Amino acid sequence: MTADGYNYRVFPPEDDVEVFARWTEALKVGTRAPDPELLELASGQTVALSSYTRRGLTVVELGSLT
Amino acid sequence: MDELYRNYAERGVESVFVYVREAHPGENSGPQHSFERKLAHAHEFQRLFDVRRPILVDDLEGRAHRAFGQMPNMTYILNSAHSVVFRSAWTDPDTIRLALDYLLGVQARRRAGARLAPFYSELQGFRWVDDAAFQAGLARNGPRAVREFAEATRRWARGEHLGSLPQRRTSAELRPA
Repeated sequence: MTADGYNYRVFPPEDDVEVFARWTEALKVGTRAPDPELLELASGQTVALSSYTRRGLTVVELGSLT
Repeated sequence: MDELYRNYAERGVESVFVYVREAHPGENSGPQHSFERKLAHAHEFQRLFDVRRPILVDDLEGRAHRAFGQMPNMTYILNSAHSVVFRSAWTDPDTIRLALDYLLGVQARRRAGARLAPFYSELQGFRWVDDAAFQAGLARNGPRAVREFAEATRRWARGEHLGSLPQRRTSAELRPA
């Protein structure tokens, strides 16, 4: 998926219904989570999500300003 | 969620916010056309809501967001082996608190010598519905965000979301700005 396709201009996004329908079957409890590299806003450094989770239980919320 | 973060940090729980795409872009907070813009939105989010948790910004293509299921505001709890031990399609502090108390209890019981085997379970969550706050958020994003959500709500009520998605998009783009 391209950046333009992912960052939709008009709500709802084209994949809206599919995302909601797919979610119940995606990344279930008991499976290993993806470990993306992300930019840490405070430090400006790129970090792996696992750099947090290896410390213990980690709440990972995904969202945005809007 | 930041209050929950502070309360559970004392008990050894980490919390992060992964910044993803704009769910309801409008004139004031439009879609992310560059990573610099995404960073600016993340800083604005931190300032506006006084977010104290670490904010981790996803890339412009949303690789992390898509890998986790792409819902607009979901929450996972991962353990130290990086495995999913809780997930919720919407972020709801009460549900997360319930899960954390349970999981911390499991850790404590194991430390005390209890033999506990994992099993799969599910829970129907119930989140607060605060229409006024939600509409205020849309208004902050801009009139277009308000208009598009109102139109989407009408279409959902008519069941049109079960029809052709490209048709819906074309129809929305043809509306006057």
